[in-house]
Amino acid sequence: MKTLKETEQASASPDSFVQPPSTAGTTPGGVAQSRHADPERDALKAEVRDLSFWYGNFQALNGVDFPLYKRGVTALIGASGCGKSTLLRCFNRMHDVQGGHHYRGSIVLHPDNINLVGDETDPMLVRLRIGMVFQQANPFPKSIFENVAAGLRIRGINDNTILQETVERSLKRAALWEEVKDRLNKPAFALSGGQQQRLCIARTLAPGPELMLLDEPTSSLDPVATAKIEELISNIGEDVTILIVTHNMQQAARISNYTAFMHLGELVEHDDTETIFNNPRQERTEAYITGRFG
Amino acid sequence: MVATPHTPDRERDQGFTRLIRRAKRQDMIFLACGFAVLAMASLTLLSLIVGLAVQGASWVDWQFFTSFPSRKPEEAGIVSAWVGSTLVMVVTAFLALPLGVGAGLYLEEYAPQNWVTDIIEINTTNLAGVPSIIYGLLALGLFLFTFGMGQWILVAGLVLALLILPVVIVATRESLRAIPDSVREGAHALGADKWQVVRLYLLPAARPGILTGLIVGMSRAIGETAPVITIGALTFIAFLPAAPIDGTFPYLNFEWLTSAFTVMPIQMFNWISRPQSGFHELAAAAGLVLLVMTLLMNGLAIYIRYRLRKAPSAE
Repeated sequence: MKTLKETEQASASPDSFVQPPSTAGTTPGGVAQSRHADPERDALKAEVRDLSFWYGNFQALNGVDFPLYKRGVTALIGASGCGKSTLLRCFNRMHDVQGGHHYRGSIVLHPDNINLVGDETDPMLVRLRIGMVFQQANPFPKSIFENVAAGLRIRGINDNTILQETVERSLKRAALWEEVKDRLNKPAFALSGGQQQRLCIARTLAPGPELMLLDEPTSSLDPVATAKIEELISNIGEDVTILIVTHNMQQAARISNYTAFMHLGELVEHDDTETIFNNPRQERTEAYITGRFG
Repeated sequence: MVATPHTPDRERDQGFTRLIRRAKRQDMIFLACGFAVLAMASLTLLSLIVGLAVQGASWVDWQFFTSFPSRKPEEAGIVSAWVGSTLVMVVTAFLALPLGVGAGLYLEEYAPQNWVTDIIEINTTNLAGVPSIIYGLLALGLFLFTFGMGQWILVAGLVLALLILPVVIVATRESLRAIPDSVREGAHALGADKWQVVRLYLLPAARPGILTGLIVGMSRAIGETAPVITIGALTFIAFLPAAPIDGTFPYLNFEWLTSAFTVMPIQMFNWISRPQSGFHELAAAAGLVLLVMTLLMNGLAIYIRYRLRKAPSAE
C-alpha cells in the first residue's frame, strides 16, 4: 500500500519515469496518432492493447488499442452504448465489483508495466493507484471533511495533521476550499450539485492518484457548474493523467489534449484533439463530429 | 363525457367541471374512510390506556415500583417483574443485535444470489410469522432438556432474541438496500476493501434503520408471555437477581444470567388469575406500566431514526 509520502513524491517529480518518445509510436492496432517534438508530452502513462470485454455473453469492447499520454487530458467520445464508460471502468476494475464479466487483452500501466486487467493484478491495488469520479456526484453521507479524508482513512492514515493538510490542499486544488472552509463539519449533502461534484474530485485527488478517470462528470450539472469543473479538469491535467468520458463534443474540444472516438465497442480513431475535430482520418469520426449520426 | 378537440368550448368546459367534481367527491370519500379507520385504531388504543388508567392509576406509586409481590394487594409491587423484564431485554438486545446484523449483512452484501440464499430468505420471512409459543417449545426442548440449562434470565433472553431475530435481519437488510449503490462504488473506487466499505460506509448509514428495527422488535419481546411461561419463568419472585456490577474485581458479575426471574406480563397474568379485586387493579396498574415502557421504547426508536438521519456529519 502506498503511503502518503510516497504518493506526494511521485506527484512532485513527474519527470522521474519519462518514456523515450519512440515508445509512443509503437502502439499496435493501426490507430492513427501523431508525434510531438516535446518528449514530456509523448511519455506514456498507460497503453490499452487489444482489449476486449464481455458482460456475460455480451461483448462490449472489441480489440481496443490506444495510448494514454502522461500529461494532459484524454477524452473518450462516442454515441451512447459505444462502450466508452465500459472502457473507462476497465482502468480501475470497477467491473469486478459486480462480477459476471470477462477481460481479454491488457491495459499496461507505466512505469512499472503492470497489466491493470490481468488476473494476477489485485483490483484493490489498481483502485488504490487510480481514482475515479462518477457521473452522478456521490458524496458519502458524512461531513465535507470526512468525504475528502475518506481515501486516506481507507489507506490507514488517521493522523489529524496529515488529514487536515491533505483535505485543505485537495479542496484548494478542486477550487472548493473558499466555499467550504468555514463548514467542513457540515454534511456533504448540504452542498449544491456542482459543489458536490467538485467535492468528489477533491476526494479522488486527496490520496494522490497517478491517473484519474472521469465518467461524464458534468452531465447532470448546469452550465455554470460545468464551466467550473471543466477549468478544474484542465488544471489538474497539468500534473495528473486524466481520462474523461464525455458525450458533449464541445466539452471534449475545450478541455482535452487527445481524443479517442469509439463506435460499437471499437476504437475508431485516436489523435490530438485538434486533429480529431478539424481533420479526422476516418469517415465515421467525421460523421459523428459533424452530427450526422450518434 | 370525454372532451375531444372537436367538442364546442362550452360543452367541453361542462365536461371538465363534471370530471373535476367527481374527482373531488372521490377524494372526500377516501379521506373520510381513512379518517374513520385511523380513528378506530386510535380509539382502541386510547380506550385501552384509559381503561387501565382508571382501574390501576391509583396503585402506581413509589411503593408499587419498589415492592415484591405479596399476598396482600396493598403491599404488592412489581420490583421483581420490572427488574426481570429489563435484564431479559438487555440479554435479548445483546444477542439479537450481532446475530441479526451479521445475518442481514451477509445476506445483503456477501451472499451469492442462488437457491440456497433464496431458501434462507424465504425462511427468514416465515420465521417472523411463527407463533411465539413455538419458540417457547423450542427453548424448552433445546436449552432446558438438551443443554440442561435452567429457568434462567439467559434462557429467556435467548428465546426472545430468536423471536425478534427475523425483525432485526429484515430491518438490517432493508436499511442496507436503501443505501444507494453509488456509495459502494465511490468507496470501492477509493480503494476500499469489502470490509472497509461495510464498516466505514454501510453500517454507519444503516445504523438508524437497524436500531429502529431492534427497538421495535424489543418492544414486541417485552410484552411476550407465552415463550417465557413455556420455559418455566416463575410467577412469584420475592428476590432480585445478583447485581450485574459489584465492588470487587472485575466489577462485573454474571451470576444474574442464571438467576430465576419473572417478567411484567407474567406478573400481570398471575394477578389477573386471582379472585380478589385488589389484584385485578394491580394487574391494570402493571399493564399501564408495561404499556408506558413499550411506548417509550417506540418513542426512542422514532427519536433515534430522526436524530441519526438528521446529522450524518457526526461520524
